[in-house]
Amino acid sequence: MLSCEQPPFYSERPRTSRPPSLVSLTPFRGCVPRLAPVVSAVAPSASNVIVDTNEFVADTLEPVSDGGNLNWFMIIVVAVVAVLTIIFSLYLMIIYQHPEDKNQAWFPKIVVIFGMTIAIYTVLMFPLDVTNSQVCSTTLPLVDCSTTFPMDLLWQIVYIANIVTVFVLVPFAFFYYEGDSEWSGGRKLLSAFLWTLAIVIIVIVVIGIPYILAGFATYTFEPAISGLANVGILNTVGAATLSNCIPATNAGDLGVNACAASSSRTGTLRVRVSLITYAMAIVATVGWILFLVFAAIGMVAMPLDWIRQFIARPRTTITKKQYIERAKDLARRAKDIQFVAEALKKTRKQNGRSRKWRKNYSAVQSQVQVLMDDNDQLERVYPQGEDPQAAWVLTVMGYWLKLLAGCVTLALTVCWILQVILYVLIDPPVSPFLNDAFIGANEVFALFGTILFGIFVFYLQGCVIKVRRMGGVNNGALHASPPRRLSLLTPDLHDDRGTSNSG
Amino acid sequence: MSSMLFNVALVLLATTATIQFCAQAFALYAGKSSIYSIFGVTLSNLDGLKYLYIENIFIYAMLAIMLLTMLVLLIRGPDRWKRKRPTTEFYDM
Repeated sequence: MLSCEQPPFYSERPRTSRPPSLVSLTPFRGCVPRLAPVVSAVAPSASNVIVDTNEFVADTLEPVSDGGNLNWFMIIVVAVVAVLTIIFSLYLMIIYQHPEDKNQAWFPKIVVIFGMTIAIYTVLMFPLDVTNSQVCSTTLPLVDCSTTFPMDLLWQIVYIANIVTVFVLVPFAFFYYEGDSEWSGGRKLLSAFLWTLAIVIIVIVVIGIPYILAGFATYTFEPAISGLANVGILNTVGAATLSNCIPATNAGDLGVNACAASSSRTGTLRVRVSLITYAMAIVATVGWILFLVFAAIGMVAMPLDWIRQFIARPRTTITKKQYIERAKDLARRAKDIQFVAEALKKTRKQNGRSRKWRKNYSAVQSQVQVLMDDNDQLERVYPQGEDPQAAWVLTVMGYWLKLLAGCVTLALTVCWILQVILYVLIDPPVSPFLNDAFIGANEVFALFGTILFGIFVFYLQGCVIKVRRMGGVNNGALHASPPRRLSLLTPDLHDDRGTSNSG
Repeated sequence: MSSMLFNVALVLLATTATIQFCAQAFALYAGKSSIYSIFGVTLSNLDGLKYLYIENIFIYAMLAIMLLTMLVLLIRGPDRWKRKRPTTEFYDM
């Protein structure tokens, strides 16, 4: 009996680089046989009748899995994680906000929280999507598998939210917040609105014009036709009867005989894609340019940094005398920086933010970062407080954890590189590698593979964030937002907490 | 605040690529998912844009940058950037 089987690529990578067969049009859900009767309808012969094998299968198969029961476990997990994500974004926002912004600048803050939440949702949705697609048995027709999450819709919502945040909310908040402080509220609004409008128009042009001109997907397929059988065959319904292939009478003209194993004839099908899908594709392509730089640097720098920190760890504590000496030295450096910061403030008042000013500003910032690091290091090697001994033990343990993290991230990076080379770049793939690992892990324990998969997806995201927090590798516009304590020292500030901090 | 906004926009844009990349790299595992049908199938058949993905242009570029980063980080420690000079360099304004 014909049934909806796993798409053929289930044992091998889908051939996106070659003309796919018809199967690839709907490889994630579709059942192969549905297409054959459609073609055979083109040339019906008088005595024959079309047998839609797919319909038949759908009617005779009992629903295997969900059977209409909602998976409450998954719904609760999703709801809890969704709320936790918002709380986590709020927490990040509070930790990293500039102290001058406390209790003000609400709109940009809401945009930041919203944006972070969307970013985390997007990453989390991937494992959810995969789990969701495995809920229904492969032998269950899609129409009967109705109690899963509507992932197509959810993806569209998330991507639209993503695009709106990046190209509307963030620019608006940015230009409103950066507007001249002497302007009135209305003028700030107008300025922010006009800037945002300009950006939106650019985005519409960048997405819209290619969409109008080339918003098509061209699929290459191999047409296959089957023959027709008398309706009487249904009376003698038995799996054996229907499994016999009915050869087409004039297959050569229209396509390939479905009863024949191989084929050489191909056709092309040009379909207009939906605007949302096209926008997603364009945004992903733009995102790729950022991603390939950030993720590549991060995937190398993350393990190296941790391992280096472990290698350069302090081995012993220092005496009080040494501590005072080093603290004095730090205080001296802090005063120097303070002096430069004051000078920078003056120059800004006189000449505004020139290119040179900005260069110096970021140089001061990185000096402040070094100072902060040295200060932290000093506090570590001369533990104080109620129980210095315990503090030192914690410090030592922290460095061993860093070694562990370094080894784990190194393993993740190596796995990713191998995955890309073995599965993506070499065609045909040498090995499914991590795919097998995830599938195998899922067999051990249902959520195990999903979690493993989530770790690999989040690792990439972590690498992107990591690079933007690295001092020195990038500068200028790409500079990371200052950590809370660092921002206390930045030249923008009007007090001298810098010296008190390290003295 | 503004740098935070900028960073959020960057992360959001990079996320779209992360998802595409993962869909491609884990096609076997994620082959039945909805996002695979968007990014794995539609994107690699899209007129024009498909060549970027079929030929794996971005992935080769990424591997090249990884190699460069590795060389740079191994030859010059990350600390060298931060500590290139004490405060003297900003006195001439």
